[in-house]
Amino acid sequence: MLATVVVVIVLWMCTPVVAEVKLNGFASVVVGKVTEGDEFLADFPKTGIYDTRLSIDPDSSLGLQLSSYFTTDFSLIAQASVHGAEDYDPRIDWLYLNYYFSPELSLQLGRKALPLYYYSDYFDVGYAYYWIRPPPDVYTWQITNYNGISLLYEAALGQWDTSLNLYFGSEESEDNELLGLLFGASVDETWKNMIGIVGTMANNWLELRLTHMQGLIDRKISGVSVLNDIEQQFLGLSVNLTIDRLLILSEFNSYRQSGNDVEYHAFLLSAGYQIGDLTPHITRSGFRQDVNVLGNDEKHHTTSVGLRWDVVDNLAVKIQYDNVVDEGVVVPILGDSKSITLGMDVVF
Amino acid sequence: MLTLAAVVAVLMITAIRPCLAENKVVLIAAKGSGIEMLSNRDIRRVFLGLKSADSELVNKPVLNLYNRKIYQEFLKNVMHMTEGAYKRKLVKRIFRHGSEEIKEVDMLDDLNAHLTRNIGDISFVEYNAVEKMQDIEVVKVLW
Repeated sequence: MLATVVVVIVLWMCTPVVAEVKLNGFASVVVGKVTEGDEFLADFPKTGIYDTRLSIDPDSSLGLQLSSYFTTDFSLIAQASVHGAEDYDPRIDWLYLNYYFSPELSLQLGRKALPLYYYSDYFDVGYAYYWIRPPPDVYTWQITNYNGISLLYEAALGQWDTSLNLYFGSEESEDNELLGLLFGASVDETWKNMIGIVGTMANNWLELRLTHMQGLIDRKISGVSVLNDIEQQFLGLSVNLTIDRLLILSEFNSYRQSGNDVEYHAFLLSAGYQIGDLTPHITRSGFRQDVNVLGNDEKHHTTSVGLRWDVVDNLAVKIQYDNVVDEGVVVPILGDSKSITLGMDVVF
Repeated sequence: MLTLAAVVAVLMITAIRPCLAENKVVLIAAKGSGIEMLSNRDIRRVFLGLKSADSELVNKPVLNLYNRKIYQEFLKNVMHMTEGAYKRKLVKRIFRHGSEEIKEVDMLDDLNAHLTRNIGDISFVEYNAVEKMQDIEVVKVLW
């Protein structure tokens, strides 16, 4: 991480002219509480947790993105954000140099979001989707960024917009929040030698996304190494449909570690219907990891209903009800719960 | 009888033609931009915030909002999506790839001034509006 920051800053300073600087931002203010049960883990990576008291922290966030265009082909992109679930401590989400070899082909060097899931790249930008947050059952990642290199190809094939993204990198997380919550101890996690590919195809009504990542994982629990150079693989498929005003969203993921029986599957199925500025929606999502050799299991599913109201340009108000059923025996994720959240998302 | 039918047909065509001209919507750029034919596919690509694959001379898109009806039709006929879906798509692209926000203009004079100051930028207007603008040329009839 530090090396990436230094390299990018040095390269930035060596560039003779900053042609143009753009600033964009996003913010979400969300208030909610658990109405039945004790706690609701709304945001896995940041461990945003609601309890029976009204709280504004678990899903609220603010982010700023700075884009410096040295030339039309060469730019620096940086994004920093603060999140209530992380006590509003600032963090750097993105810091990378972008270079276009051609209108279709570009190279990114630096720190980026790890594109495992469909909403990975803009997970924190609530305005970009109709939920309060992407379904937590699916977005259970403990590592959300990587430092490395990425190649992106975007082209039209007939009536299809297509893209192919190849990436390579690594990320270290000391005292990982999510794993610390699940294991009840301090956990250091490293994902290294990650090689990934993401392919997308979209036309007027159908969008497909296929992703695969493999790499090595190291894990220390309370300073004791429990995983060392274990190979991990992630596979994901998203199929989204837009049929007039009807939106059907889906995502299916599977993860496994070679050499042991750690394996999980997650899915989401969602439907929304646009009625003017209103989009009511319903979602079913689930996560299943059977008891494995490490003695862990995790099994939960959620039914959500909600409403998005596009009040004005760049501002949406949302309300959502989540019913979580936690069937984990060895590793429960805070038990069954029913929660209500009300939020406002803006982009600027 | 045949003559009468022909006369009526000619009168109808003459009457309809100005209406068609009024309803035409065109892609425009500053005179001298050198931009020639762009496919609708490439125009859609540019207005989604990607670089043009058809012409290196195309710079940035400008959303013309001074006539909301034409903007809505542009989204329907060229972008093939609703205003809400388009807005969310742009937001995703900005926060996914660090793309620039697409400039929006509310006044025809401002659009004219922007295009002539930024050679290579493109926008869309109804055909009749081109006559009211200066140093602007039609790149393509969109519909």
